[in-house]
Amino acid sequence: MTRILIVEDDENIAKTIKAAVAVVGYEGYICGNGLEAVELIRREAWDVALLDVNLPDIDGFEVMRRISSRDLPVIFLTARQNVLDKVNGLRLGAEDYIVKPFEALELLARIEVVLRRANKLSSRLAYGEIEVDTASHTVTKNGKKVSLTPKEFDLFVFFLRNADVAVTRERLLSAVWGYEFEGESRTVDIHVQQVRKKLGLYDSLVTIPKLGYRLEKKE
Amino acid sequence: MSVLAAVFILVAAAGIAFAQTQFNNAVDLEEKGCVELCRAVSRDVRSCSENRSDLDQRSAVSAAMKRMCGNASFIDADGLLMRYYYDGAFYDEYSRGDEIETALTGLSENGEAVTVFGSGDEYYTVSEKRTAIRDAEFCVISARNITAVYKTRENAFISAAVAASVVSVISAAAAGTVSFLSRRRMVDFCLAFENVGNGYLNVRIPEKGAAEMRVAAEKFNTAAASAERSFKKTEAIAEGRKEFVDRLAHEMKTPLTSILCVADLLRIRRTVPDEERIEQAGIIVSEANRMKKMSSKLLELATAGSAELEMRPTRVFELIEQCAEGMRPALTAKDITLEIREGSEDGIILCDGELFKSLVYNIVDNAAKASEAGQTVTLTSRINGDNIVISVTDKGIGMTKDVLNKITKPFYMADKERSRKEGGAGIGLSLCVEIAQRHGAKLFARSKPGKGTTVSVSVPLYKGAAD
Repeated sequence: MTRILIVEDDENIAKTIKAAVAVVGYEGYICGNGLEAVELIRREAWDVALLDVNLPDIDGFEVMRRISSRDLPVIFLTARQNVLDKVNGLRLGAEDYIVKPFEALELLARIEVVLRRANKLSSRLAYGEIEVDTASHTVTKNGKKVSLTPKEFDLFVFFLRNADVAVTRERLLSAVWGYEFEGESRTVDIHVQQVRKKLGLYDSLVTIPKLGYRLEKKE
Repeated sequence: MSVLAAVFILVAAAGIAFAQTQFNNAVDLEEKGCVELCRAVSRDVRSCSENRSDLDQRSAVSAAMKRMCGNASFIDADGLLMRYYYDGAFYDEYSRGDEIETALTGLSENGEAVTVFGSGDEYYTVSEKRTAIRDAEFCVISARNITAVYKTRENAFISAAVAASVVSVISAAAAGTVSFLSRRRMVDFCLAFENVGNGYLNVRIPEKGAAEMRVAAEKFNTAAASAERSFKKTEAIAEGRKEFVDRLAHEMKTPLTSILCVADLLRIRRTVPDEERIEQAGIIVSEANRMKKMSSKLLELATAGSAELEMRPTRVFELIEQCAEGMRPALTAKDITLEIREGSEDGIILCDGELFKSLVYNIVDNAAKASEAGQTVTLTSRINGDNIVISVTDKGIGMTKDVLNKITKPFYMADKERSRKEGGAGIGLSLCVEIAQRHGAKLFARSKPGKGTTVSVSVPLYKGAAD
């Protein structure tokens, strides 16, 4: 199971993040101060650490300095929004930097990218009779190869990793296309239709009115 | 007359040459900063995209750039403008209009800053840095708006001309008696005027030489000093305001993070078990309440600073008795006793009753928050010369000196965890300071960790008769 260390001193934010990561099946552990976080990181094995910059004892940057020998991917959480802070965080070796306030799914998407980079995600996914191998970029249904375009492939993998979660078109755009693609949510619709058709997901890849799409978990 | 013209030209030329040097230095500095920023960001983009697999490399570069420049083309005055190239194709996510386009065509092969005149009287210096990461090439462009530097030079030229006219008229009048040496002093004057025009308000002219020169130098120095003082004051106010807004923004983001994240969770999940729904919606409710409390406190703070005060002579006993009555139910609920010390002294002060009571309420509220169940909070009043001192004493957790120095800063909370649980917003004492100031009163605090805290407000006694 993927273990995530949540270093955040605001109790409600920490609880929220724990609930968010639980949705995609990660196990979150809350820690409210920097020194304890350093201890926990040295003592136990984690897959990702979410590190708040403003902590009551030592700040997030200092925590990062003290654990730099560990090969642990870190995502900074901060309310500060200036460029120098971001550069500072990344220079210290953080994998990513997310500015408060953020949406749950945005955080999950960032965590997923980091896990994938660190090769901590399984490259094989299954959905009923459909099997996906993200390493070789292949999809098979009942053992027969299905040909998806790269974007269709990424889209389907994103749905698989966020099964049973309703995803907005904007979120899909930034997760799959990787940049703000304003006013072009039609692009998403067309790709979703293609994925539905090619994989026969008419009943399970459903449209949620006023929200987006959801891939429903197989019983 | 030819002497007059010569002096004019001499002084004006000196002023203009000086302004030009200043200008060149300023532009050099801006250009260097621009190139450095560009290189630094380029290095960072590169470093965070290294050691990635080929598959992820493109998205890593793209993501790193996005992280660093956000969704805006310009973040601030020293903002970053980002572009990147892949497979020969050119993506421009952050278009910045014609002036930057013009600047880019003027760039040398790689990286040098150029200054350009854009449309609408705007000047920019632009720098570009291209880097190849394996098969992809990306490019960071930084741009700075340096219109202010140009404006300063323009003003300096004008003031040089004005100063030159003044100097030539004076020197013409004094031509018979003023020695060459005194004319040299005129150039001093001219340079001093220019410096002021350039915003260097700390310039002074030596007060020496002939009587009229000394007087002129004195007058100049007084004027410059007063301008410098008022400028510094304005600067300090602006600085304080900026700090306040920064803290406010930060304080708003904390509850917003919980609300946004949890609301998103409730929205996107297919089914939410009852238990989780209650807990998560509960987070939204409590955080929204925190924001509500903060906004009403902020409103109070704004009102305390600007409202018309109804100043009336009032008996201090009346004030603290009303406060004690008003606060007692809330304190009793927490099993904290509120008492007025025996032997307290009465006096009359000139105050706005409601506002002054809110000052005492806030202090008592803080004392209660610091106290444990079973403890006592004591109100005391005591005459001290021309003032009356109202004190609130608790036997609670107390504070270190370090903390004590920060408590009146907006949004500061000595113990964040505890304060939030008690529903604090961190604004109470800032409000107290504001109210005290408007009454000509002073706030003092003494505290010892583990022993308790005493906060006192010292108010001038009213000399007239009470109503």
